[in-house]
Amino acid sequence: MAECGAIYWVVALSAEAKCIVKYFGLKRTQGRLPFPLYQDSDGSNQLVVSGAGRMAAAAATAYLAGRNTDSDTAGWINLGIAGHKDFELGHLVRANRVSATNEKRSWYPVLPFKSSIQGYSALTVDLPTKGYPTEAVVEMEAYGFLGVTTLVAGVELGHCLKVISDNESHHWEELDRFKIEELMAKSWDEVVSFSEKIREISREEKSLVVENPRLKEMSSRFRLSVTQKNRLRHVLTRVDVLVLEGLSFPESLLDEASNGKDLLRKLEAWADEAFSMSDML
Amino acid sequence: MIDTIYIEDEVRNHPRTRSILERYKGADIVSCERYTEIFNRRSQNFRIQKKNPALIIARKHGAKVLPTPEGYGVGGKNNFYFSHMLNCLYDCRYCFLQGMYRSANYVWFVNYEDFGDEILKAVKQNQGSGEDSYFFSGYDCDSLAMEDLTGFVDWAIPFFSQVQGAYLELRTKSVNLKALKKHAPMEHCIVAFSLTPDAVAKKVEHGAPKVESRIKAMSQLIELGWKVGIRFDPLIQHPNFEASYEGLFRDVFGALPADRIHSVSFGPMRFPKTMYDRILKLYPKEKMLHAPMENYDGMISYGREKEVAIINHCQKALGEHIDTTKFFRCMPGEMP
Repeated sequence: MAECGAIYWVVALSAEAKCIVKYFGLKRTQGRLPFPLYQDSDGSNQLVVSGAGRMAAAAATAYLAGRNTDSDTAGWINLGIAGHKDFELGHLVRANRVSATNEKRSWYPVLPFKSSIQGYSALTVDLPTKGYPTEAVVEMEAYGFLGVTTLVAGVELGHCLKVISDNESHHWEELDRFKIEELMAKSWDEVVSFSEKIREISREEKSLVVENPRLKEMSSRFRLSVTQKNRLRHVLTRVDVLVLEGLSFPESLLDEASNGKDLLRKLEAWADEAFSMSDML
Repeated sequence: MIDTIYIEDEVRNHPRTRSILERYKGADIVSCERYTEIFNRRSQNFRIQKKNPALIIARKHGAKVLPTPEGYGVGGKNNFYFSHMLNCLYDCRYCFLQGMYRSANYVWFVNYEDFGDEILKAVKQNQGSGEDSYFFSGYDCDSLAMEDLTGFVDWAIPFFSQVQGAYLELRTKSVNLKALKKHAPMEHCIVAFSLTPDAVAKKVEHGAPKVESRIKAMSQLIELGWKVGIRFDPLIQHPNFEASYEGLFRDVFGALPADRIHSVSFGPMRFPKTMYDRILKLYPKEKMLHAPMENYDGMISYGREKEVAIINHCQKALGEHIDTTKFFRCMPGEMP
């Protein structure tokens, strides 16, 4: 599991994956897997190739989420191609609203930082189309992807980046693997810069949910009920705040405590007293 | 600087919306049917969103003017609050908004005139009582901090000037007085500033103006003829609490004539348990939130005994500077 922030990538086609695989040095995971999967040595970049369509994207995203225990704090990016009426080929947009045909609800990814990538609406369709709406890019995966990432990681950590691959002058039928790779490469620097900002948020989130190692140690040493374990988790967080301020962990309390209840009482009293003597702010 | 603006389709052509869009031409504009599609849904993280809040422009439907919670008021019997905005520019770690909303985006309701209609109704309903009605505007937001964007004061002052029997309280930490200075002082308006000792403010009131600047702003308003209120709310416990608050009171009343202060209110720091848990989950390393607290009837506080001691001390210390008839304790339930 990556100590730094993680980015989990979801793409529909292997041609869309090429830049990511190359840049991060990802290796394909061997074995019988439902979707082609790639990752780097520490798992801080993982990529799944879903195949086309929102159902496939949702399934692949859920699969990748299920393989990792830090899915809730990872950044999630769906990178792929999209069509637009008149945007130039290779232009990169970030979906700020994603709707789908036959769906009432829209998804609104929330951007926690400023980005130079143009925000734009996306419409997820079930079949390739030559009919381009005026105020949205058209693509096939974003809605399914965000349906899963919103549940898993929240609206701030899941984002869709779309490279314009077709428009009214250049139809999607003209696309092939090489053209897609070429288009994806055009915007790659912007994609990396965006992903690193998401990774930073992921890193911060991860640092806040790390389980205190003492919890495991104390839980094995003392018999604790679920409620007592929750109290212990809470008091250890308090103690950690004090340790960050320079106080030493009260190791002696562990030897002095006669049982779990006594340990909790002693730790809580120690924390209360230490807080009262600190600046409390 | 706001770089994303969500707009409800219904208010897309509202004059206030159009005026903002003129000013934020580079912003990412996203349309939506209702602001609730974006604001306060599940799977949102207030802390992450606070890094770069977006603006949501919406129409307020349903009840717009509500009775204040028990214990909230500055002398009147008929107390109401209304919120033209949800969420605040500042990031105070004791603020209940961070536990109340899942989203940190600013929701701005542009239909001020509908608020006005409900305010008039509430005033009319209470006219028979012979008591004035008080309307508090800074409950879910800071009344002045985003004035340049909302133009709320520019609407509220002329509106309330025409309403007999209604007081308006603008609650703020902002020192942006431009809008107030454009208007003649209004007899029935209280501009109330929230204050904590400097040491506390520096640690937990992120992004808010310095305490010293707030005192200067109050002084300026008094000179201009405005009624000013002081809100020592919440009272935050810390070492040398007594000396620290006494110092603040000296600074305030050394700079401001006590007879020109409309009211002084104070209340302890308290959170409903579920709200406290949510805030603690967002900010697990925030020291102030880890101070010894007690859970009494689902309310997290410093504990009854400490609250009484804190309040009694402040009341006594304030009594040396200002007439006690101007004191109000913002505290639900029985008073110590």
